[in-house]
Amino acid sequence: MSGNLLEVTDLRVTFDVHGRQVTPVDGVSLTLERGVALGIAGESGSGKSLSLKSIIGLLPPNATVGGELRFALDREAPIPYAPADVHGHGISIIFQEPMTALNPTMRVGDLIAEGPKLHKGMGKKEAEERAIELMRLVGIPTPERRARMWPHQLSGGLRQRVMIATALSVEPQLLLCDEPTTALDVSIQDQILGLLQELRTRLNMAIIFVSHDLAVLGEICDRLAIMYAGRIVETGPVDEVFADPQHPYTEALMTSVPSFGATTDKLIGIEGRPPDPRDFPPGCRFAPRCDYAQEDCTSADHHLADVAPGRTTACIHPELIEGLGQ
Amino acid sequence: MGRFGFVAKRLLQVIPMLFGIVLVVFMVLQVTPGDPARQIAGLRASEEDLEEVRESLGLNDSVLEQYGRYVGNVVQGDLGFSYKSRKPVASIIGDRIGVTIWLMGAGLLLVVLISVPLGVISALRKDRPIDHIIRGLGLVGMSMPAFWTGVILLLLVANTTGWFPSGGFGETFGEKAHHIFLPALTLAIASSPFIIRGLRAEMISVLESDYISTGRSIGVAGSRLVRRFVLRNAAGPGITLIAIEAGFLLFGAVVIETTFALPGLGQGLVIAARGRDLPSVQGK
Ligand SMILES: Nc1ncnc2c1ncn2[C@@H]1O[C@H](COP(=O)(O)OP(=O)(O)OP(=O)(O)O)[C@@H](O)[C@H]1O
Ligand SMILES: [Mg+2]
Repeated sequence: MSGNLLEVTDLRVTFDVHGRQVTPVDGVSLTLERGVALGIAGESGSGKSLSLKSIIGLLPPNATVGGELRFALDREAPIPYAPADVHGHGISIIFQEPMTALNPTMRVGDLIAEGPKLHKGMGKKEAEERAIELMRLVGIPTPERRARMWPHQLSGGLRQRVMIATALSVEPQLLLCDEPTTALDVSIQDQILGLLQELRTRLNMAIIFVSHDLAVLGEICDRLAIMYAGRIVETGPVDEVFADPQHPYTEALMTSVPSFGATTDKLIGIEGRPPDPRDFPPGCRFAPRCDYAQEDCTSADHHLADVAPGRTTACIHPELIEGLGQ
Repeated sequence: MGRFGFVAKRLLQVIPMLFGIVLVVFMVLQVTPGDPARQIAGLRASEEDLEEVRESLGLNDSVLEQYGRYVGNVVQGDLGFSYKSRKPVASIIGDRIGVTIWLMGAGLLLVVLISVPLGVISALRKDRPIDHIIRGLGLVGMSMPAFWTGVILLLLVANTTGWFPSGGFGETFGEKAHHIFLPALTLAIASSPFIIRGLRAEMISVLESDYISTGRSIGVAGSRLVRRFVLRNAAGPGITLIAIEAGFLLFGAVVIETTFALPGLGQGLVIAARGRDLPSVQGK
């Protein structure tokens, strides 16, 4: 099957904070084809985690979701779905901190066996064997022995592998990764990235990988979406976005990473702080921090316009962007 | 093994606390007016008689000596003799402690039966009507003094329906359970609100944790999620909470035994204190 697996249209997440409406995710739209790895980059607080949680229906109970979510499940074309439709079926998620993401009162083998027991109709014995098989798949040595261990008995890297095995236990078509390597040692980070890479091709899963680390996204993703202040401001194939950013914020993010910014004399890092969801500026939300800002920027409506095949930007003056001088 | 070590440590921590309590009780009884010798010998006793009584009980020694002697005896299991009835305090306590253990046991059982379901429902339905109702009832229960609740139950339940006795204790298991129900319920009404509140807070923090999201994401839902992911993690802190509350139940028992005329330690304590029977009071 080909075609779209997930379609997100004008997603909004609103909280009622002491009687005031706060909307940290404010009109996110994206489409994801089967088997594609999409990276979402953006500063802290831009709404990356909330977007992922909306997709898999894990928002806290005090959040209100707006917009439309469609997922293909076992069908040809995406249809609207409820969270319960994709839990244990179709979509899985792995989190940043594997220690807090694993049930501390469950042996890791039992946790991995939950999915097969509940959704594949497996008996206890069969599900346990499946769990060990999954642990072997994610590269856990001596899985028979480790299946009997508690999460706190494992190293950080092994815990994240257990988390991945748990997510894979329900055979998802889409794996959501919320900064899965940020909490790990650098050497372990590369191993986990390599593993996700390998699993993705082997199992033909689509992935949405959230990170604020562009270099990591460059390694693992096909496409990139840049998020700022609750909205997506630029999308495109990873290489093209890196080679020729079409939004000043993308360019600014790249200059803040040494490996990208090395060839420029621009200031490393972005001046100012990301805006607070309680007080987003009008028009283009990046305008107050933007080197290229024009007068009409503060009144521009948010709209992702096509700039090239497969490439979109929300910037109304992309022609002004100088690039990194490559 | 880890759990055993934890329990042992907690029990050891109780020992200095017991010495502290004995010291405080001892000091309070020493400074409150009322002469034990006078109470024993009677109002008409002569000064010589009183002196003799004091001498025989060691009341002329310094407070420090009395305390030292007392603690020395206590650690050997000897609680002394009641000044008044001349029976060994240990045997008086032995007679009465069964009733108090019954009351605390039944009270604790009711606390668990009431608090666990209500705490769980309150947390799972946080900020919904049922949560508000449970918290409202909790506030009412918390603000009613135990003797007041006891009197209300006696008047409204025992007297009007005649289903429950209004005082005393029984011989057989059935009788005992029957007699202990209202006093235990009184204890539970006073204690449960604190446990419900604690359990609710504990469960809510568990519900917000990442591993609950993990559980949900792989399709664990409903009672299976509550049992295998929520309760398992809230159980440890919940048990600690209830164990701490068990200590407070002892204080409640003292009050309630009097209200329901239960011949337990608490009632004995009140009688002994009225009669300035120092060893009996300290023994308890
Ligand atoms: N339960 C909540 N109630 C109110 N505001 C919330 C809640 N959860 C998140 N927010 C707000 O939403 C914004 C976006 O949060 P989110 O976790 O999606 O950010 P993020 O892009 O994942 O950032 P990070 O890189 O730090 O993980 C934050 O500013 C946060 O304050
Ligand atoms: Mg996040």
